[in-house]
Amino acid sequence: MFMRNLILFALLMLAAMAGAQSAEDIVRELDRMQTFDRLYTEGTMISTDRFGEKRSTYRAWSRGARDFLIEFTNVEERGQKVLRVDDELYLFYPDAEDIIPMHGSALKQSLFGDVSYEDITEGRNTLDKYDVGLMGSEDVKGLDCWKIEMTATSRDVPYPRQVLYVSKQDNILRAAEYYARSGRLLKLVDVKKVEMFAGGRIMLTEVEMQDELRRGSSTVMRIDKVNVEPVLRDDLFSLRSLY
Amino acid sequence: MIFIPKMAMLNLARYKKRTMITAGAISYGLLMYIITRSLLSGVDTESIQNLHLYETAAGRIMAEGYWANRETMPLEKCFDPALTVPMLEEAGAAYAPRISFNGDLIFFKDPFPEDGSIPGRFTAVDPERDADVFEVKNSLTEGQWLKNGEQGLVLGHWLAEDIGAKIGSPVLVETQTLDGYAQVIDLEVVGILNCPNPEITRSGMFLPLSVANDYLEMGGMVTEMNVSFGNSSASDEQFAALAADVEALKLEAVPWQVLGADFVAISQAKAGSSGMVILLILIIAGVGISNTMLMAVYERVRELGMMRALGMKDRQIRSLFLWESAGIGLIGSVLGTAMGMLINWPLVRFGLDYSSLLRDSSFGYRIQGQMYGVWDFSSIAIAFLLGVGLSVLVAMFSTHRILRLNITASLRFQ
Repeated sequence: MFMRNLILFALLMLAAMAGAQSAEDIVRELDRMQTFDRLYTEGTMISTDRFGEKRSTYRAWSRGARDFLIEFTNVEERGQKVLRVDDELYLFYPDAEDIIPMHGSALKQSLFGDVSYEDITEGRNTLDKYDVGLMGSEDVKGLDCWKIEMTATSRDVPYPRQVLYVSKQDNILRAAEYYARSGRLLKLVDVKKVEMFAGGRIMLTEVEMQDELRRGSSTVMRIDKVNVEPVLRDDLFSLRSLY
Repeated sequence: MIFIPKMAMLNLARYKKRTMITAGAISYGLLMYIITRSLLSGVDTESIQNLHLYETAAGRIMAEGYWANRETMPLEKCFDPALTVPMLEEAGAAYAPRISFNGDLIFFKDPFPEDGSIPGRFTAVDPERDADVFEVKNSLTEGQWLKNGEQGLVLGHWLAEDIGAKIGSPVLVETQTLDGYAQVIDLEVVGILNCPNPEITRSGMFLPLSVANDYLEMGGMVTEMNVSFGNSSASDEQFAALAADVEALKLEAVPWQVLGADFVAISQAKAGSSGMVILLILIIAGVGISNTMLMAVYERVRELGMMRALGMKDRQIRSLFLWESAGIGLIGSVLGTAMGMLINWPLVRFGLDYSSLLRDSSFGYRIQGQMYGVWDFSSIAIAFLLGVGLSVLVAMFSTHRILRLNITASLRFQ
């Protein structure tokens, strides 16, 4: 009897070990699921603060985890572009016909609402930039989620600490918290909608980012149209293409 | 010989109204010249003083490349202030290390009237050493000065008024560490200052160096070392003499003229424009003088014809008119400089209140509220000589035209 219980316990332990995921595994899978070789999207950003609501529309192209180009299409900002290439960020204003490289504290400025330039400078390859650790489980909007702490190891990231909530069921990011170096909560990210694609890949199609330092300030980023693996011009992610 | 000047003076007395009108035109021109010069020089002098005392000192030592990238206030362009201390002490300079950084000042309703945030430039100062170089500490109007280690913030008076900050109000400063990580500093407003430099009163935000050092993770580095040689008249030369030693440390020494380039540019532009203003004043005065002198000469053409018929030589007539115009110029100059000095006295003593105009923009000048004049005696002397010289010049021209007429034509002149 004792021997049978011991074998059963050993088998259960083995099964648990086989099923257990480390924080690294979860984050690596998260990166894989959200990275597309080539992607074209059109979307809307809605920023709300005490002065009211502001909407911007955009179209964006991305290649892998690093190269990214966004062009605003609403009347007020039409033609403004932000390019991330070779880990550098550039702005283009059509009126000035000038390209402005963004560095240092300039990256903290708002790109749109609560989304700063530095928020979009972070590509994937999360494990190259953060130490990750599993903090446990937590319920997020009725979903059982892994709670993962990410501590920055690289100077190239804006937030020294992040906490991610990843659904255990489908490994999809459901929420995130961004913290300052002092430990103060800066931003809350709430993933509202997700779209699935072939190959087990997903896209967060509606995300709300709430600024915890500025009451009543939030930004919703919504993706209205997606084209996975589009044909992209070779020089799309170059300074020349901004003009 | 004395006959001509005596006759000229009699003529001036005889045509009192004309004499006073012409002298009045001269004196008005000179009055405007003296006041304009006084105020413009006063603004310059005070701006330079307020730049030195509240913003730039004699100059600033920075890491190489910081000044070129000053718009972004790059914290990574920092240096160990201890490197510069031996050199500065040997030169007999007072010095104050500072860290300047960009950030957002965030505040919330209760105790503030509204939630809000404003981007701005924060200056972390050594609470003790800063007073050796700057007068910021002595401009406190409410609360107390910063203390090392205390998470306090001192705000400019206008800024505090705009956001509704009071002593004891809690605020947050959102910024980045030296490594570029997001950082938030909890501070409490401990002091409000009102200084003569509008840039500081409008947007000054000061916190202790030790707090910035901890939160920005600077490891004892600073972004600037401000240098002062007190009221020394050779201050600029003394600062320039540090350049070689500073370069040897792979740092750069930036003098106040470069740090306050916006003011220097406006001052230079002003020098050009004030020259234009003065030229216009002189033209207006010159036209007035020439007009009245011409009238004076033309209404006496027949009288001149008769004098010439009686045997008076052209040279004597010309001399008579020059004496008359010099007399008018002298009266105008005496009146003009006297009135100018009289009006300048309250400008020097009490100034003009421009606070409502200068609050939103001081046009690069570092004056706040009161615009003071100065006693610029060289300008007053120039004004005096100009008054006499201009009248004589105009009279020469007018007399020359009259003397071209022959005697009979002069006698028949209507």
